[in-house]
Amino acid sequence: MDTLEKKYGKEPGIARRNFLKIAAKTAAGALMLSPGIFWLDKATAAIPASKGYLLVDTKKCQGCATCMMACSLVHQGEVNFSLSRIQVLQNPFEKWPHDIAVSQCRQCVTPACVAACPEGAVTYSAICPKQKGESGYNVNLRDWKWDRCFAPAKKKMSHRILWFPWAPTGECRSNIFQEPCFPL
Amino acid sequence: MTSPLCGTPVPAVLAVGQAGENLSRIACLMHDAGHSSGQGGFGAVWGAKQLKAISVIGTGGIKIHDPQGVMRARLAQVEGFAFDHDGNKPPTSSTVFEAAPLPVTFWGAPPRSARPLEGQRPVSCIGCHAGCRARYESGKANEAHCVVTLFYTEAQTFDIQRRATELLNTYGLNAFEMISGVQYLRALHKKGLLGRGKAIDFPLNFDDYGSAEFLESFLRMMAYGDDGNGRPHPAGKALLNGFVRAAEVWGRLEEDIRTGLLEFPYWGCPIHYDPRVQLEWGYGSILGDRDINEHGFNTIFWDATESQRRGVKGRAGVEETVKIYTDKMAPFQDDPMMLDYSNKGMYSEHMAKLVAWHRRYTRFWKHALLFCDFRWPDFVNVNREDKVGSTGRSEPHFFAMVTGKKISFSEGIELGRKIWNLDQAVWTLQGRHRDMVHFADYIYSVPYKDACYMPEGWDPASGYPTRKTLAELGLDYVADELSAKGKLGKDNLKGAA
Repeated sequence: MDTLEKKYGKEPGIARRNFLKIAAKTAAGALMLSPGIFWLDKATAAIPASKGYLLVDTKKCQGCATCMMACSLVHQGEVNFSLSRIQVLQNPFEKWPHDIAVSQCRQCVTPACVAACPEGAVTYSAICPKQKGESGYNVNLRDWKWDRCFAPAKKKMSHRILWFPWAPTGECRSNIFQEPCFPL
Repeated sequence: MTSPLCGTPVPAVLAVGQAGENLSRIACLMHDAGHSSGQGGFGAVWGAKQLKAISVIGTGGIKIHDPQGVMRARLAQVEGFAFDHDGNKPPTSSTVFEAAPLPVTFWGAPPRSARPLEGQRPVSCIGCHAGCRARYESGKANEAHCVVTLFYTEAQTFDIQRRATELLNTYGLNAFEMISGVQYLRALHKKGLLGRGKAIDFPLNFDDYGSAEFLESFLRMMAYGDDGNGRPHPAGKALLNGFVRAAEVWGRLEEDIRTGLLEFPYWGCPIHYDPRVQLEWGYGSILGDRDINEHGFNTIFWDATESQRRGVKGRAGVEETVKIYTDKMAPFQDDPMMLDYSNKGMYSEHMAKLVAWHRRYTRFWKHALLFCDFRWPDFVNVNREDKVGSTGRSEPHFFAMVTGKKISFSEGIELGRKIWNLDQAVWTLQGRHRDMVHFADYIYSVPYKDACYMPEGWDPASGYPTRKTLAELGLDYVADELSAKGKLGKDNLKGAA
């Protein structure tokens, strides 16, 4: 077995659907075995608030949207850009570096977007780069806007942003994740 | 662009430019700044329907059978086979899996001699690990890729050539047609046949070729079908139908396609790679219906050419390359002579097997499943110690993770064969016969042989699929329909050349 097989496995792992069934059974016992995940009620799982920051270097980004696919894949079990917590918006006719804008969440426990980015454009840090004196990052520090736009009722949980594109009002809403993500 | 903080992604737009609006047969369908669907004249089809653009936006998704498996497969594939950003290996060819994220542009003469010295980023298609286009600080010719940057190489300045690239995409003109076509016009002009007041009256002055003024007028002429300045002109009208049909209007088609002055070797399509060199490309094109534009074996050509030119080692040795490639080419594996591109090999049954495998691989794994043409198949991969790429193993694994359907690589190849036979049956019903399947005369010194029909099990006399072959593929109903139309090939293949 080569090293890649050891690391990532040769055969398919537990299917997402099965994993959720297992998780639901565990929740029924009011005890979550997976570390870092707790249940608010029988239907709603949550992940502890991250104390870190998801950093995006927009100059490294090549706009492949692999981060968006990875995010929706691990959190929702499907490839759906609208369900991704990280949003990469592009204008192919715009001049570099203004052709790409990224809006990201505040980092989940195992950020699939970081793992999947082939360019190393997405990383995470326990400390805000501005506090470290670093510049060049498009760090989304404007939580006050999220208060208005995303999370008026759950400000303290706004580390986990779930954007509901199907919201009746057409506005962005927030929620904590209703599904756990699997370890990579 | 919508707000990066609170909004929806921009819509995906497929549109035609002025060339499509004016029903040019060489008009493309354009997406974003530089994606074009060029062959077939679909731009004119949209123009005829007065369809300018289709814009799509939505919130739908694609259910995945095993999301965890897909993520694991993706991470392993990139870590094990993609370009190593942290390593010290230099970028290699642009049409391999381990290509670096670098824009593929050929501006300048010689090609690649002019590159934009400004801020830029590589830009990729969705999910790709190595973007092969770019967006620039000046915004000029954003996302230009590959052949579109080879147009107007004799431009007086680099900026004019970039403008040429940008205008091709803006008007929605097929770059391949334009590259070969403008050289044809220049050749006719050089012969004294084309120009103001010449046998072929032409409104532009070729003494100005290379200037911005000539460029602007010529591209307007091609997109609007006039004299380039808004006035009707017979040359512009003729060129609106493409260069081959214009040659026909001018009474030159037969001679110029025979001599090669008009370099359009198959089906009225402009030359891409010379069919006498890139053999599987040429044979695949005449057996099909277009310039196949598939680079699976093209890397061998570039590796050999570039390593010799630069005096460096190729990505792999000759024997090593042949073994790695042919080991993966089921059901014809273990025949090294398939990669014999010599004068002898070009007509051999071995080459015919290569052509057959290529048609089958691309029909299923690329056309049906949309594995990228520049990254797949992954034969030789210099990131691996043994240089053995992931083709044969990774394609079916990704397919299984996404769909839940387990098929082997060989079964995929066989499905490709089935699709390829269906194509051939459709073309047969549309009137295709073996006699039509040939290159332009200038390509030949030895007539094309029938070898390529043998691995397919088609009748070499007519080119028609046979009942035996179709039945093997579960396509008896296709055989019935061909039989009813008197177009079923004879099963006895003896005597074929």
